[in-house]
Amino acid sequence: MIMKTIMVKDKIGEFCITAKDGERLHRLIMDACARNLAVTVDYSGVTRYATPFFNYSYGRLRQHRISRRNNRMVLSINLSPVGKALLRQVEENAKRRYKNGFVIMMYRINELLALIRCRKIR
Amino acid sequence: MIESVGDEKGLENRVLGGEINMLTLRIPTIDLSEGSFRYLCSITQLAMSSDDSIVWDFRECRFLWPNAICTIGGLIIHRGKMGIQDTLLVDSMSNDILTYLSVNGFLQQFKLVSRPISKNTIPFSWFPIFEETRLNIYLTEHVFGQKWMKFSELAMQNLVCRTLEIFLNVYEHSDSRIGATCCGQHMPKANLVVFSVVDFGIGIPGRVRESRIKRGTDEKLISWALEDSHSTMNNPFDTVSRGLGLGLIKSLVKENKGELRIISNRAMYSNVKGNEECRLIDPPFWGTIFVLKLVCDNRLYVMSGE
Repeated sequence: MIMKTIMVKDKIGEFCITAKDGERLHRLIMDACARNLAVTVDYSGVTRYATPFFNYSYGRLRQHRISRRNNRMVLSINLSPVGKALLRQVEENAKRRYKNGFVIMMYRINELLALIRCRKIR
Repeated sequence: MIESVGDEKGLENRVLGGEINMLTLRIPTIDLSEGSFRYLCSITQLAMSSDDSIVWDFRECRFLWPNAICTIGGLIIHRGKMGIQDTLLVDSMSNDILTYLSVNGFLQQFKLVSRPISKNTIPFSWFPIFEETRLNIYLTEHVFGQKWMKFSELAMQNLVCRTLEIFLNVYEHSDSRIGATCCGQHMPKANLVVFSVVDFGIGIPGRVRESRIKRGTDEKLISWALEDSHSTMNNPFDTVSRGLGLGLIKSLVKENKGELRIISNRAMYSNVKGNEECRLIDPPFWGTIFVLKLVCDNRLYVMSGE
């Protein structure tokens, strides 16, 4: 499998704080996953982290499902101990949330509605 | 000239000549006691609901803690945005107060002195929007990078990242028109740092009530918001997990034997060395006051991996 490395400092910057930046990283990861590439996210040079960034980049149901389906996690490297601890908490929080069958059901309904809307537009 | 004295201690209302309405607020010494927080709630309510110009009089004040400086500064900024010009009576300040407010940037904010801000204080700052670079410099250099702190890079990163969660809470949830004001104070004898962040938004219980739980007292709603995984933005259609920010601040004070106080709407939450207490406060605060009290002992902030 071909490996794709995302250098966070180049793509996002030194601060991984906001939801907006987390969303940007999430899109980069999803693009690589869609092309069936193995993803390594390299955090060299990143000095500040906060939960909204990780919530939007890793705490997403879609990513959670893709990781589980493909039986591999997106590999995060060179995170500082502070970043590692935060990411671990965000992932555990996501696991707790997506254990809830109701959330999964709502997600599927949402996906279905989006598909119907797409067909209507075509 | 009509002159009347209000019910609240220190609140004096003067109506001059029937044209320019002036309200004089005599500020007493304000610390971290419950009475002081009540006083801040009262003046906030008054300042936010009055169109009169306020004269801020400090002749009865001996000291102001960061919670008071942030609240008063924020109120003047907030009222300035609404087009109301207030007066800060610099002449009424004792020498100690005058020196303190002119080295910590408070008087500079309102262009009342031109003296440079001292590097040995945690200055009064106003962040109208979330500016990550400016905020990071403020927290790294002026709050946790002071000579009395001497943290390792990793411990500093941990403190800055967790404190950022307070600011993120303001910009993501509060809808505060002026963003946030903040300021701190080093207490060398007690070896403590007190740091406060204030906003005048909807408040934590207000936000929970608006988006999640319609019924419940403010103390119950703030306790709910402080639990891990509880977020006002989590709804069944939402596919992003959230709700860790306030819990991280709670764990910071628990791990480091510090204190956290949150006054928001009618709720007053305190966490002293991990012991939590939450009760109602009256009158309510129209926004949120965060007060962090941290011990300046480097040994408490050693991270695993160091």
